[in-house]
Amino acid sequence: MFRAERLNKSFGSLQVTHEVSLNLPRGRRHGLIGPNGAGKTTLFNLLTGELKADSGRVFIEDRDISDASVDARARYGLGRSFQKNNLFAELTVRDNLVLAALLQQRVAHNGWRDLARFKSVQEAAEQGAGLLGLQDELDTAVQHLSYGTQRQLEIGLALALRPKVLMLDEPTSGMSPEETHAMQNLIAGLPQELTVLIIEHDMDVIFELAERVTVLDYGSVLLEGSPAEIRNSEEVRRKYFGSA
Amino acid sequence: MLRDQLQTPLAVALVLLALATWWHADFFGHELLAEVAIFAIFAMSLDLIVGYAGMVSLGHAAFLAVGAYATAAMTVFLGWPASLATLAAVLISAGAAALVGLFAVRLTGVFFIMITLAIGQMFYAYFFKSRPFGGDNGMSGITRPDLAAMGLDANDPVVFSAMMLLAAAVIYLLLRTVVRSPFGHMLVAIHQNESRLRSLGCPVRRFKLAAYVIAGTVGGLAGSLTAQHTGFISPDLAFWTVSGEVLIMVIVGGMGSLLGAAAGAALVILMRHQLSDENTWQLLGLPGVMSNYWQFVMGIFFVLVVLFAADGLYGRLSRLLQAARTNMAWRSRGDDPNVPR
Repeated sequence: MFRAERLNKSFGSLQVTHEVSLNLPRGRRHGLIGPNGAGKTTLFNLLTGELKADSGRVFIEDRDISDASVDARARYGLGRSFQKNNLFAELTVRDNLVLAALLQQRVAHNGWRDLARFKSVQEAAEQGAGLLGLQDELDTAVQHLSYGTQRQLEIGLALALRPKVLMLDEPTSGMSPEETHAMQNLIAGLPQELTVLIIEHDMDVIFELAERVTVLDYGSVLLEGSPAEIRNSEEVRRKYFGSA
Repeated sequence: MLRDQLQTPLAVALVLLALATWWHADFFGHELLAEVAIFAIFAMSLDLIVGYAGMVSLGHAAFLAVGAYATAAMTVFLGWPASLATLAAVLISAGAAALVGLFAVRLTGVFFIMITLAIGQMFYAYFFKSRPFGGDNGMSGITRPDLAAMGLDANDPVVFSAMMLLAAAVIYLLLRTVVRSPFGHMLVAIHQNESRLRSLGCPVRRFKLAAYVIAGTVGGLAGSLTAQHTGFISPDLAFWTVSGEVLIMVIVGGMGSLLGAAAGAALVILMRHQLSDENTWQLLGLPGVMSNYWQFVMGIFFVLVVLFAADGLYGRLSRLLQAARTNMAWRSRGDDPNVPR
């Protein structure tokens, strides 16, 4: 369903991604872990098209999207959230969700009809806010929301695209334990058929949410397996947890 | 997304002001009014890309010149009627904007400013050197539309200024439709966070190009009207200081507000006119020679606007209005003894 084949990427003489392959069937919850500098975010950017791979292919539902631009990949069904909140900060929650809904419903290019008359877009925005528990904050400017709520909206924007694949870059980074818990519930409650790839620093979060985990180290796949296998792997423990 | 509360009152005020001025104006007043209306169109076209999409251009005068030269060529060389020439000029400006835009929208920020400045100056250099278009002398003999069928004469300043005001009103309504549409909201979002919009599936460059072409097309219309207004064109229309001046109009009036841009155009043109007139200074009891320093005074005014109303006069007014409302709401909650509870 979502597949990467032998991706390679170098910055000068530094190879940051080396022969990385992933294969996610529909509905998979897949975790991506690795020590700092292992190349997790680079891999993310190769998958979303932010960076261009030196070699290797990316497929979504057997469609080769290796040469597609960032926005084209999004239209093919690839939604992502960012590690650092990356929202339309001066706009309201509603406006943020409306932008995503306009793009999802393929009416963003309409330059002659008043936005207020696109009822289905407004409904989609309100529905999206409801899903995030933000129905009371619809008209609050995003910059006035708490950090944790912004994190949720970060995912809400990606979800508003109704993606086939959702990629989450450290969704709980910088969150308090309660906020982390709320985020875990949000992710656990995502539709079954949605394929999810998560980068996460918090081991407890990833072992709870993911069915399978890929461990990256120095840009290569060190190991792929079930959370239990990863937890018990001597190699991962040595590399990742820094203890023999 | 839009600061709507000031929009209607300001629109009404501007329309009333324009009508009153038109009613009372003398010969020269009508000339000035036509100039204000044309530059209001020009400033609104620039505001679409600067204020909404965040694409700061220092080469917008290129389209003013393209529209003006196309109109001159069609009326003088080909003998076309002015109305047809206007249409052709608008289409040619659209083509020129598409061509320039293809390169320009690849860049952002300072680099976008630099490429628009450079391309604008290329247009200036071309017109300056081109023999068929009269080189640095420019061209004259451009005609105005023939309104005999309506019993009117476009060469009458009273009629012409009314036409220009009408054109400005129509352009305002058209551009307002654009900024209120999904496309207009996408432009604001591009301004705010281009990369995120791209990751939501928006082909950002195509949207920017479309905005640039709309701005260039309307800018070309302003150029065509300028040519008909003065009956004369010169390469100076494309010079970068013209681009700078219209940018100042937009900034003074308020970026991201079409009415603000139109008001900014009126304010800058009227100030230039008044401050360069000896009588204004003598009325203030100051030596008339001050009129030689009108640019200096304009400069001080511009500095003050940027310091104390960075979001332009429209933004400043809108914030004052909001503060007043908050204050009133606070009073009516019972802190004011004059308000019955």
